[in-house]
Amino acid sequence: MSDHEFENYLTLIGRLLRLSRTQRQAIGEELRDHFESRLAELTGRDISHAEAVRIALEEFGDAAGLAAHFSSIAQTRKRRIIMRCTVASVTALAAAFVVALCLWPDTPAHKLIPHATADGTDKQPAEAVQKDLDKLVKAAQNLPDSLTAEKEAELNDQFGQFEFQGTPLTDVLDYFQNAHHTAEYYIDGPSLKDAGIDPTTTLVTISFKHVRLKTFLDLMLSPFNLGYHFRDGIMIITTHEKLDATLETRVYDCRDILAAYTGEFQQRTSHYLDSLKAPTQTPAASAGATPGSMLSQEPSAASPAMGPYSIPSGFAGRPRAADMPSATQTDDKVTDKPHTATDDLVVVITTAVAPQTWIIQGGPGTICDYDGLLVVSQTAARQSEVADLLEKLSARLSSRPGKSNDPAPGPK
Amino acid sequence: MAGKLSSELLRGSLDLMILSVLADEPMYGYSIQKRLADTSAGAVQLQAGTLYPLLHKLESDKLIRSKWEKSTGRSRKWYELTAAGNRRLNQQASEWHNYVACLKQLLPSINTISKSGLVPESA
Repeated sequence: MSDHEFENYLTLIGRLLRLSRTQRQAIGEELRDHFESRLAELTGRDISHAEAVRIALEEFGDAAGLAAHFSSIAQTRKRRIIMRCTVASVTALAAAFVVALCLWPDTPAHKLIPHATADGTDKQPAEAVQKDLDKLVKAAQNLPDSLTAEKEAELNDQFGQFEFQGTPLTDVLDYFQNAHHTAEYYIDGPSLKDAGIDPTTTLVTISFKHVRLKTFLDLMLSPFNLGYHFRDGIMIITTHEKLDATLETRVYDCRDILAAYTGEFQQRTSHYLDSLKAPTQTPAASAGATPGSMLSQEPSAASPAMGPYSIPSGFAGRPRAADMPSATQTDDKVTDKPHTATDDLVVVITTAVAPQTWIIQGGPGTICDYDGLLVVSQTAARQSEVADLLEKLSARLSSRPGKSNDPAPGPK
Repeated sequence: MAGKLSSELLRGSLDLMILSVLADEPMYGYSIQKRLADTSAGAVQLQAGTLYPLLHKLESDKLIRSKWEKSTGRSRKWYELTAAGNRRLNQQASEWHNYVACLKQLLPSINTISKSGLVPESA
């Protein structure tokens, strides 16, 4: 045996090790140092070089087994770090909640803190309110939500090359996780078992030279009616059925989008909605039809009658004139005002993203605003689409030179 | 000591052996292996394939820490005991002493069986 055998051994271990390049190099260096020391000892005992190499190499054992040991230890360390981050996030959330409770106006805790203003009232100045809102947003960014957003961004930003031929799904996921250092994954065993899927015997055949990691996962999992969602940064592999039944709540900071609102869309929306004036449609009739129709709702005993183009009170958190007990009041608060920026944004989201999945169409998804923050409850897949849409809107609005040239929305 | 110790016996005490070796001074992997073999007069022959994963696990558990040094012209990874490792060593050593004391109480009855071929009434 020659020294070359040991280099081959190290190369093999390097390929099998599911660690970063720095970690692989460090392990290789350490093992090489041991091998050379052991070799020197054995050859010092008048053992032939070839025999010494054989003995020293034998003492390392099987390369796959050794690589598996190292990988397993690194994975345990990673899991501990994720646990610590999760605990830290929860702690930060609790602290942010306490701070918000103390600083938010009109709470009992806030009233204990004296505020001096120019007019001598107890109201907080506008800048202070804005600061509090910024604090809330920052706190929201430290919620476990942000760990999920971080992991999703990783899948969106990274690309990879994949070649699998009849590889068990679990092996594909292991490779994916270790080769790209993405979030840890967890297989929803009970749901897969109910669907008759065994991830150890489900074979994957797929090949890409250059593909976005997110796309790879979607295309790899969908033939088996599987998908994934994140929870505290852990990727959970489960069935489509389970995903469609699992809602998650996310908070989107839309203040930049709302600040860029010019009101032009409002005028176009009004024109568009006017063009859709029709007898009130039932949800069944409106399903899958034009976007405008989703705004209509059959009057029921539970809610007052609403026009075909009025946004139900569930949106935007602001009641409409038709929703108030007495629609004849002339008080400004109940006058049927034009749509606000937030209303229009909600319309855009609920028409562009799977319209039939929102509560207005009998779906599970809800959306409401809180001072420029949109609180959306939807499935993971829809949340991704909402996030994507808002990102595009924000990018487009920020690069807009003057008036928008976008055509008015029309029926699909 | 006569002969190599069985792997079953060693399995539960390798951590303790490595911690005790590092209690004297910082060492690198090969020197740890040699020290164990020399101190046990060959009874403990820890293979490299077992030693290094164990060292990494102890480091991951923060019982030992490592640093790279270039003392002999090549990079070498040295290990030393941490404060937590020292506490674990003392705790495990104490448990082992109690365990050995307990076994010593039982061993005389086993010697009696092997010498006389008789089975005690309690068996």
